[in-house]
Amino acid sequence: MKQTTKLLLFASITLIFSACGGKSQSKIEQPAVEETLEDEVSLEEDYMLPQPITLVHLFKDAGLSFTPGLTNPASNKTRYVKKVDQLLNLGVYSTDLAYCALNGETQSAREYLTALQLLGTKVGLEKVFSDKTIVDRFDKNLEDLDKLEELIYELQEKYDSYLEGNDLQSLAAVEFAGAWVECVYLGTTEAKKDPNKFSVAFVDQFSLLSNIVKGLEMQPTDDKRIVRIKALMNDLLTTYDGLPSVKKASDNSNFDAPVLTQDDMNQLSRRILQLRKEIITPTNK
Amino acid sequence: MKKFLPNFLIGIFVLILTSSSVLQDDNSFEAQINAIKQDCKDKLDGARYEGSKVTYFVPGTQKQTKTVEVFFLLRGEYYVAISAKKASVPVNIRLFDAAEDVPERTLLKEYKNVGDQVILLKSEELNELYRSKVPEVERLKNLFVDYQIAAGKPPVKEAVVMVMGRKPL
Repeated sequence: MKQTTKLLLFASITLIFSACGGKSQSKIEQPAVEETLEDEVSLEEDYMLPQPITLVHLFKDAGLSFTPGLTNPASNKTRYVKKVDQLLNLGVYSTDLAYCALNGETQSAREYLTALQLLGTKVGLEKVFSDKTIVDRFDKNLEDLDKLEELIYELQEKYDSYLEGNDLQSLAAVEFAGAWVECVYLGTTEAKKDPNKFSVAFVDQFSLLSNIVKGLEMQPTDDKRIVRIKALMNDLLTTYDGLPSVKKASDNSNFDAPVLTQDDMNQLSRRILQLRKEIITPTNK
Repeated sequence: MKKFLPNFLIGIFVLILTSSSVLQDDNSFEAQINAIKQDCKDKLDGARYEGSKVTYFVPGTQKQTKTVEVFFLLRGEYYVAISAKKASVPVNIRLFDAAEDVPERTLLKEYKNVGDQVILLKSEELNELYRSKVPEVERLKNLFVDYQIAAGKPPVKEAVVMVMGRKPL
């Protein structure tokens, strides 16, 4: 009998360790919610958002040039202590990395890559961002913009797969909100000067906004900062949807895009600036 | 009291064995999804990865529809590979130019009971099809992919996998 007891004790301990070790990937703080099979199914209406670099491409293809000093300085990376700030600015820096790389500002791009690695590691995504070979490959290809672009897409793919494989897509929603706001902020400065030139690109960017807001609404958190950003984004969406040119346009975004006027652009710009400031300013401790 | 320890340990043993098997099932399900994702990526014909979306569902007593909205924001050709291999029930795929609540949305194409095959959509082909149906449009920027999932048993989690890539101009 003693033998059986010992055997059972040994087997139980072994199984406890193996069961606990089954999913050893680091999890980000999420409130404990009992999940049922029904909770694990996808939404009736879901979406696939583009990569931050695609957002930057959209503006670049419309003629957006590089303006020094617009991006969030990479040196701010150590100021983000709260996880939500780190996630939002992970998105901001993803856009800044793409903006610099696509415009040949490779040294700045490299700084943003390092900032991404730091913030990514801090939010528990070290498996994606701790790969030192990324920086090495980046350094080797500083002169080859196509290769740099390829590398950014590759990093993004790694990031996506990791989040999806570890049921962490809700983090992607926060990160993408930061990336999108940074991108429309970068576009605003030039677009205000020439609304006609950038109107279509802006309308395309805004076609993503309702889904971004939806992603934030799904956050399993009542973090004050997320609540505030959600409110500002909702305000931006309401303002956009309320613009006369947008109201006149079809609900089908494949039809003729609304033409944004100078006044429209000014209204959007004010809100974008406020939102961006909110995102890049670290939470007071 | 003497019997308590062995009985208690047997209880723990059974409990852990069960949860360990659930974890293994879960891991094996995820491994299968990853393999399907790779199949889809392989179909992208060298297009640069843009994103993926796994749509999870549980077959029920009634048919259900799940929609994934995708964006073709840039010029160049987008490739979308879809696999319903991890679905035990028939799945139809219907492609629309707008969401369900938009009146007069256009059905671009329909694939019935896709089975194990990977469906590959190409934006250029879809654009041509779209222009033939709605001449005033230039191109698709927004595509709504409906999965019509038939009723069925058993009640376990299943999935449809989508992977998108783009070939720049």
